[in-house]
Amino acid sequence: MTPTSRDDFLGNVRRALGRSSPSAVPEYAPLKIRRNDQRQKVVTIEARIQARRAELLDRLSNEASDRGWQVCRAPSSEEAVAYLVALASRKRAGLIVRSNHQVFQNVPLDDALRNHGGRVTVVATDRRTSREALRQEMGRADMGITGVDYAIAETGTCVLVPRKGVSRVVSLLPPIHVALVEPHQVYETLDDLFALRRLAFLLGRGDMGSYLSFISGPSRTADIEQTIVEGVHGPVEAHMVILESAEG
Amino acid sequence: MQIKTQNFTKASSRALADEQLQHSLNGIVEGFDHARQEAIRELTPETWDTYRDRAREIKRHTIEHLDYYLGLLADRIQDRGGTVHFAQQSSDAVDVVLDLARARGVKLVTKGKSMVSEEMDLDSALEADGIEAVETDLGEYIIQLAEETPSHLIAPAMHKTKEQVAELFREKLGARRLRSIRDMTVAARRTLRGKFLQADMGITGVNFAVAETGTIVIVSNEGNGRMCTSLPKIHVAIMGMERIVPALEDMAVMLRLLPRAATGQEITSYVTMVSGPRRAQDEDGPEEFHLVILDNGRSKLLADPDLREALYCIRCGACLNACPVYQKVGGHAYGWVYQGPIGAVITPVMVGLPKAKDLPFASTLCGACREVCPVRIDIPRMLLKLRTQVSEGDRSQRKVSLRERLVIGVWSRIVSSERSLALARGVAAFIQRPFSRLGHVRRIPLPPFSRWTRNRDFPALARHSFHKLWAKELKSNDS
Repeated sequence: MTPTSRDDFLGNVRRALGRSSPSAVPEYAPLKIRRNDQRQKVVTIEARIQARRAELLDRLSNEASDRGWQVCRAPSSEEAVAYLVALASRKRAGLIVRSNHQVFQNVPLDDALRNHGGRVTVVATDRRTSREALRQEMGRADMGITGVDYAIAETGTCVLVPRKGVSRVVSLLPPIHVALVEPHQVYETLDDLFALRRLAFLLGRGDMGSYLSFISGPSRTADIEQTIVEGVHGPVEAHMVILESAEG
Repeated sequence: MQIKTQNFTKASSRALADEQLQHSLNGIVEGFDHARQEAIRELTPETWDTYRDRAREIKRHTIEHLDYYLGLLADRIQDRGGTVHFAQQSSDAVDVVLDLARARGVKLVTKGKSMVSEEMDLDSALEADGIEAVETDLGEYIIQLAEETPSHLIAPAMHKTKEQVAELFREKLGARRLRSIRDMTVAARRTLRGKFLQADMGITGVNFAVAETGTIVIVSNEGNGRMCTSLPKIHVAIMGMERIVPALEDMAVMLRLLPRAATGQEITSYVTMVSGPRRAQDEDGPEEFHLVILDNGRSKLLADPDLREALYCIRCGACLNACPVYQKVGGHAYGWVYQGPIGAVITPVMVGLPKAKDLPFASTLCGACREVCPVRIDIPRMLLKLRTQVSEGDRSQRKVSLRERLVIGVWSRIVSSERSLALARGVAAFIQRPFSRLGHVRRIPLPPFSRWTRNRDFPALARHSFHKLWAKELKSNDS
């Protein structure tokens, strides 16, 4: 199917570089770090984060607000549930979809939302529900609620790693996205996050999942007259609920 | 995209006379360039420069070993179940996409923003094959409906006013009562949402490709990139072969640079990293992932050590926003996919210098592009190199006329001796007398100088030359 063979293509690149044979493996420090050293790097990161947790939660919260997240800092899971219920009723969210992140074990919001008249669907394929049906549901939903896999204080970003129970689009199709962040998921910088993901890559024999979603506020555009409008193809509103004391 | 680079002079005259375009161009400067400056101030210029040095080193290293990293990227993507297609020419890349679409009976394609697909003229190739291809970036969607071409790397519809967009949406989408930009955005959201859900194939560009992990990175704000990579059964990503970084951890600095340089954002709303098709256990995602890697003349830039660093470009558009020429003539004048200073370097090499010999001259060499570039590309140096090629290259490419060379020859004779300069000055001062007023010459009736004074005044020669002043007063004051 390839119209240009790999050898021809790379051969042409090589000639342009003035070489006649394939270049040897170049010396490049970040690629030299093997599994154990990468693990050590992550241990160092974790220790640094551990010592500065409270400060990082503040920074995350500030940066997230600057990115357009509506931030709620919830001292307890009850308060997180209360925020979500209030939001759902304010928005008249009748149809709610959520991911199957671990965090929902500690934050029992399904019943609370149902008690207020909402319908909650967990987006996780099983024998009873087809992918197509779930997609329809997500397309109609008024609100999508997810956990996160990491949060980055530097940029006010939630990072999601789609997998079983974590759809790519619960956080994308509904007009409102709510992300629940647990304290142990918060890292300081983009460098921290990529060090962690590289370790996952090295440990997973080259597999680190098929997808990684960085979300920093609502969807937006400035394509007409450089005027910023929030809510293009993705959510109009993005809410970040930071659980201050949840157990990891 | 059809090459219209030959028409630069005419197209820029038209642009200068277009008041509405001039207004839009002011908006670009106000919007993007000021936001960029503000973002750098906030980060501190010192930190910004550290990131720029780091990013430049990453790109330099990668480009010097591009064959190795392309091989590594292809291997790692195949390890993850993706398919890699190499394409020398843009027509090869078109064939790859058409073959894939035909074999799977694709009827509807949703497309993310991709400048490389503009090089390929992919939309019209798909349409010609009976496949509906819908641009989903709002700016790209607007110009697709208007049947126009992008005028800015990151704001493709910057030349359109909201009134024009409202009229366009009324005509093409039947959307009425679009009073605000928000209304227009909602109208586009509604129409495109249906397309996303029905599309059989998603096509996206690639902002970065991480060789080590076999990952492509898409940076976006609207969410259309996420739609295109999540909903259709097949995802085809198209990249220019220079988009690579070696290591995953290199992405930290790139993600700090690109959004700040482009729009002044600390980070975009979305960064999407794709490593192959969905796994069996995943809830969603495409069943197939294809990566098309295109050369299309990039190896010509690579082969010239003086122009190689043009391949470091991360397509942020900062050099457009900062360029006094782009700020006046806008993107369409450049006549192809890539506009502004970086376009003036890469376009002539990619489409051939004879067709684009005006572009290297579309610069004042003020150096603003080099100053704002997040990877410190020395664009003015490369423009000079291309100018040399134009003026010293074979006769067919030569831009410099006999008359111009004659004038320059006489000029250099005059200025090479003090006596001849003083003499010429005296003559010129005498001649200018009837034409000069308040220190300016409004009109020189003698070609080629008359062309200069058609659009601007020429500063008149001072009453007393510096040489005379020096001899008379300054020298004695000093001693």
